[in-house]
Amino acid sequence: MQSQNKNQPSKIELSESKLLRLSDAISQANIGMWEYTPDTQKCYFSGKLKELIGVSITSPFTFSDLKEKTHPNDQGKFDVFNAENLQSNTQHNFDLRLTVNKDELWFSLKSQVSISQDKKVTFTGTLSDCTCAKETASALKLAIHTKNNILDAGNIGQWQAERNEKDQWIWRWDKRTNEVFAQQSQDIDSLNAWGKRLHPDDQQSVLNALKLSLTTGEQFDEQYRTLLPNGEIINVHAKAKIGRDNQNNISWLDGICVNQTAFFKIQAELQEANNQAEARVHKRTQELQQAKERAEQANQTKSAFLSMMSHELRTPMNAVLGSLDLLSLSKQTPESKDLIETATTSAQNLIVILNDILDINKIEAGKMQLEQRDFSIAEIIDNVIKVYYPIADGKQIKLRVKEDPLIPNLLEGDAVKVRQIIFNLLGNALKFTSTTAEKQGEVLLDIHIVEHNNIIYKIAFSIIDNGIGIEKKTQQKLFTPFIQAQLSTTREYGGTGLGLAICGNLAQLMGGQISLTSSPNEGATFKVELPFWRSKSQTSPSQDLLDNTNIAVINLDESENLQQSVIQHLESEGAQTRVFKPENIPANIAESDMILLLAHSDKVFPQLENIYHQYVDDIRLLIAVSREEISTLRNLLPQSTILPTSPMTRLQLLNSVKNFMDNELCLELDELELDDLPITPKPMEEISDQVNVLVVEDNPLNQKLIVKQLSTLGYQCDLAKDGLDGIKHWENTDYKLILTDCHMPNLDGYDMTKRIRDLEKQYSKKSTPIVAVTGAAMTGDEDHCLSTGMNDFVSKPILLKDLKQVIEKWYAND
Amino acid sequence: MKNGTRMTEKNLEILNKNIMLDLIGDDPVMIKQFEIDFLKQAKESLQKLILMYNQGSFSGVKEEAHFLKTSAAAVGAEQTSYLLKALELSGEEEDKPKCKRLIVNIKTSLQQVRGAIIDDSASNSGLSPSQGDNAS
Repeated sequence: MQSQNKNQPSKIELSESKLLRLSDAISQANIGMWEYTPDTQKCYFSGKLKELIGVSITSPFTFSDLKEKTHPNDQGKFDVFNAENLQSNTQHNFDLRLTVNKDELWFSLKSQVSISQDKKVTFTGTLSDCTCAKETASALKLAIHTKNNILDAGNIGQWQAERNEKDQWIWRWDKRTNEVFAQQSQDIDSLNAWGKRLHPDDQQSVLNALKLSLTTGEQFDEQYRTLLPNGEIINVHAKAKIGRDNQNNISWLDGICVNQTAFFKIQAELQEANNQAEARVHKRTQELQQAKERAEQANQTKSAFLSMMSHELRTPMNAVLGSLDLLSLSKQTPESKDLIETATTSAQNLIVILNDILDINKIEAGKMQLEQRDFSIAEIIDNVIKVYYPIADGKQIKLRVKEDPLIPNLLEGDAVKVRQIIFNLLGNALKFTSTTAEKQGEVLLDIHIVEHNNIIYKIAFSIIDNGIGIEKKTQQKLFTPFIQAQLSTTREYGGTGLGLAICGNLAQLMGGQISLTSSPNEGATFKVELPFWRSKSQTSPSQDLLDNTNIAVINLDESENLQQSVIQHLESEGAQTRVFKPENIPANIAESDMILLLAHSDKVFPQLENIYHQYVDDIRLLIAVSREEISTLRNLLPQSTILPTSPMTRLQLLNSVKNFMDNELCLELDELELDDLPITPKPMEEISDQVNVLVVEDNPLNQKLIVKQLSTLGYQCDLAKDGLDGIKHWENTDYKLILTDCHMPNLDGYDMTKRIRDLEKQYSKKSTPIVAVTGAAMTGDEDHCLSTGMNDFVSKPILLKDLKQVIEKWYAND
Repeated sequence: MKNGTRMTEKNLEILNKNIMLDLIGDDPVMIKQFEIDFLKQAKESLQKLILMYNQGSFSGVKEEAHFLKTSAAAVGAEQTSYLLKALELSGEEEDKPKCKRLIVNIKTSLQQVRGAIIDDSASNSGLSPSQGDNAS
């Protein structure tokens, strides 16, 4: 045996030490070791292995235990350890799943066969945890699978380029890309073959873009056409992004391509459809523009027509109004004034209607403006009734009016529009109502307060008739322009059908509403409710029209309807009223300011006549009588003052009473006209230069008379209109005789004579004979004349012979 | 009218033709002119009388009545002249009811004067008073 140095480790010791370090290194690498001899079932498991599979190092563990611990699906892999004819140094490796601490982990089992001299087979191997690698591989596989599914589903081709070590670009693409470009399998990865597929018009731009991406790193994004072998042109959208290596050099390019021919086709079809639609829209727009221009032209023509019509009608109407205005300035009787006023009102209303025709256009265009001014509802009602009473009277329709005495005298709103509505509705009511043998036609205008507060009054205007009525189905459309109840209505009654449309629109515009209740042959009720602002000018209490006026009302009628209405209206204006029946008139009735006699029917006229004559000399008497009976009463009491009723408006009543209080006596003087008498005026005889007589006279008729008389007697005279004028004449001319009236304005004959006598003394002039020619015939007048310095006195009218005598008497003294 | 003869209401004429004959002689055209002038003047005066009455101006009533009275007397409107003289006095006495009644009566009398003038014109032209201008 070879001796060895005791300080030198032996070879065995070195080998053991080396083996121990190797074992530690393997253990550090988380690799378990094992050995198994199938014939003897002997096995060895390293501590690391037991640790890896979660088995206690000290617990006994067999190869069968390992198999048992393995996932059932992997246990079959252990069959290799029982195989026959195994060869030495052959390796048997597989992956298996084990449950370790309730977690399923993947392990890589590797083994190598060794066969001993006695033919015994032993497997020696390792076991390591490969769960992480297994999961990564699985995830990668899933990702690749998913990507391929997506690309398949989207029919998206994948392509790439990679720079090789020789700085050459190696191109690759998948089967889908090859299909997109209809290339043969041998053309795959051939850039030249792909380049030939590009449409000639797009080829250069696509290759340039590709080159640009490879050199600059810009994203490739191109849509281009491809010409397939069958001549078909397809549209491809290709995109790619570059990749860089660690040195930031552009090293590869990953891209996709999609056949978007269908999309492009649809897009093209959409574009075509869009173009067609745009063309249609353009054409339609042009047509609409032309239609609009034609409509505007028509509208302008209509406006011009309306303007022209309005002008042509307004001009003569203004002339009518002007003439009526001039006529009203001349002195007229109350009745004539009333007629002039009615004519004026009608003319004004006509002009307003012309404006209304224009208004319907404004309403429909939303351009109608409302005025907010103080106005009197009573004035509007009076105005409308004045216009329509003659029409109602002509059709023998009883027109009545009922006004709420509590309606304020002034409210704020648009008076013109309110009048227009009432005018239209009342006109309609009268138009569609008539009096027949079976039925008395009646129309009532009722105005009352619906509600009010400190700011707003809501007033209802109801126009109620018992005319032809309107069917339910036609009631709603009546408020549409140019619509009447029936065509036969237009034929029989005429009209434009604008009226109710204007009324409805105006009521709506004013914040109100209009309603209709009607049945055929039973008449109609149009009710308009309108809100008005309380007048701001009425914030301070104003004096009422009839304040402190005591009015005695004698009601000769059995009915008290008129009496109640009259009393309410009079008292609302501050009058104090007392009502009596004819049989109990008090003795002190004359202490009142006036008596208002209510005598609706002619049956009470005899009684009325007695009362009238009894009190006419002591107190003002106003007789309220139905318009139908006015002529009868005129014949009976020609000098009486009459207040027409049926209808009687509030304004008419109050104004009549007020005027009557202010002007007691009213007489009709038209009866004194003599215009129809043919007279040829006779020229006055020429006056000679030799004027020796001065006539001082203020009365033109007397002037004319005395001039004629003097002329007949052969004398010429100057005329002076009063005493002052007489003195002027006397100072300028030496008259031989002055004939003077005594009572004259400015300076009478007496004072003129005194002054002349004084002036004669002052200038030492010779005294001029002055003869009084006077209408005074009082006792002492002659003496008075002589006392003032007059020479003589004659009474008017002076007879020709008397004049001759007095002239000869005084003129001869010269 | 004769000087010194006192008028009474009963024997007064509506339109005494002799008055104008005595004043200016037989000149029918001139007389007609005076009559028409009078009626125009009377209408104006009557309006003034009504106005002054309503204004309560009795002096105005008196002055206007006097003014018209002499014209009425001149053309022979004796009843009118009489009433105007009465109105002159009533105005002086400020008798309102009487003034009112007289004004109304004056208007009536003037209507009668007008009728007389028209009738006279018709008769002078060979027409009956009732035929008027429409007669052929």
